[in-house]
Amino acid sequence: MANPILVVNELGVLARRNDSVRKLLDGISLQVGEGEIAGLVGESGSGKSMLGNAIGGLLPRGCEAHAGEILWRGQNLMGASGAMLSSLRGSQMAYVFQEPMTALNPTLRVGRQLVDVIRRHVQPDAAAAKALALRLLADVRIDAPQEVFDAWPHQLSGGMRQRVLIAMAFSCKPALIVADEPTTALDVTVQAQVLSLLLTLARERGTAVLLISHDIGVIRRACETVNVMYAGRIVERGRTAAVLDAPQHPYTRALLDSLPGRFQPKARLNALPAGGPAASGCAFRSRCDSAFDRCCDVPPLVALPSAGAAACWLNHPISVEGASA
Amino acid sequence: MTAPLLALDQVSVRYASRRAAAIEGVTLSIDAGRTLGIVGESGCGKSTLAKAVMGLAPVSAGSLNYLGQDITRMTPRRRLQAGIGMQIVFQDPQSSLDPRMRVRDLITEPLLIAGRPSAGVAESLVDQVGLPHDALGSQPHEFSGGQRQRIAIARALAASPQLLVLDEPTSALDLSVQAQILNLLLDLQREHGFGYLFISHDMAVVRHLADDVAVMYRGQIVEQGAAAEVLDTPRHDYSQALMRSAMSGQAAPAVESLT
Repeated sequence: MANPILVVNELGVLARRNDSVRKLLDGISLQVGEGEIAGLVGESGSGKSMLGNAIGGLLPRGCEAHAGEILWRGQNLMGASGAMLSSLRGSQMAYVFQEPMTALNPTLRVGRQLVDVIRRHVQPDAAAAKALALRLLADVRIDAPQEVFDAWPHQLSGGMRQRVLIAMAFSCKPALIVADEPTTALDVTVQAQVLSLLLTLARERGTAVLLISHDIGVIRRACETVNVMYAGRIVERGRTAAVLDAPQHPYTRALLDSLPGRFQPKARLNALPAGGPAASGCAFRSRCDSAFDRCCDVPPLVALPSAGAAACWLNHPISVEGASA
Repeated sequence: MTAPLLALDQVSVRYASRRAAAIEGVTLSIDAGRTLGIVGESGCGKSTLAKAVMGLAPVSAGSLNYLGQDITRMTPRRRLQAGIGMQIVFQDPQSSLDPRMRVRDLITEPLLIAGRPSAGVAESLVDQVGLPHDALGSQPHEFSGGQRQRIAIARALAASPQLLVLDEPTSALDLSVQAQILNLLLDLQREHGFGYLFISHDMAVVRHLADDVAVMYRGQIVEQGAAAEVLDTPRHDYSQALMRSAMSGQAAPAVESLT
């Protein structure tokens, strides 16, 4: 990657509750290049939102990044102060979340909320901030910016609210937007419009996007690269087309196999066996068809000939040599 | 020709508080062993249709027939007692199952209401939906989302239905769990010849399950026909827009063609 703006190295996140400690993220390494649209896909509980939040220092109470590093343009954010992270989030990094209703304050008009953000991070002058806010609303293809500016959040549809939040995210000209399921709460007909708007603006402005989604269709359409998460680890990554067309990790393969679109109508799907992640070794081994002795150890994420990487002993150079010998 | 399992003729639902009808002039029919998929965006009347079919919404015009019998004015309880075999499975098994009840009581309650014997039925029901027998003594919160949906399906099967209304039954589930539940629904249909009224916003799922598809828009059916035809070559403007914007996992057009 030419210019990674974000590099995550061996990140570990723990949740502490009373005396118990639980690993939420383990050995996560990830890079996002300048202007890159990168995807993060996984099922609920896999840790994808936790990772998105960890990047901007937004971990919930009781969770702590205890290992590894998060480098923003070379600067380590681990242990950075709240004030420093907050200013970074306003000026270089922005978030778009799933639920546009809870992300806006219901007791303040939309315009006021936009202007507050702009005045704090970009343009302290009130009149100039308002002008900028109106321009941003027009940029997100809102036909009547002044009307939306004067509206209360509840007067807007879900799609409109998400446009406002996209406008807010772009207001500080960020280098990276972390978009966590930005279209999941929207209607099917609106999803495509909102996603396409986010991507078009990001391309025009050279903004990188880390798109977090459970929806493989969205990832396939939007992302140049994809990272697949399972049980708090990245199990496979690479160019989107390569990963989705020729998955190398058994979990990625199983996930794609469970998509209904790939089968004859009314044929049984290749469903993954039920079950949680294994307690030790490769977390997927308890549900994996091809698990063998080696899987009692955690497999490292190793580079593949396809330029991607997978964390599976089947693809590991040592086991491949062992098999051919 | 035998009567269809369920036939709706020009059914409208009008709530007193709203000026516009929630659904208007809906005509459709479902045969045994077949699945009718209902698609449309939220607010189009899909779930009101499900409620109307189940006798849970005020039908203001039109009629519903079950195997030739008029059930338009029958309450859900009367239907159950009269042996009208229709049950519904909702999207969110977290909220559709009483959290204080044990699984055994949850799935045999419909038999109690119908006044039928329930001995041994619970065991056979959990077998059918692929849950272990010791699940019967547990409460819903002890299960995962997919398992809870299996419990909801077992409860629906208790009343020996011939028709199941499935209102977004896999929308709250993860992809790998969704596949398990879809397989279960397909197996049950093959085994018992159930008719399904399958409501979903997910075109890939509808394509996989449905024989026929009806597209709803603003309370009306704007197009219906064989699944492949409606999904691949929609005629109505709205269906076309809906299919274009549907983001199923199978298609891979470039981002530029999204709008």
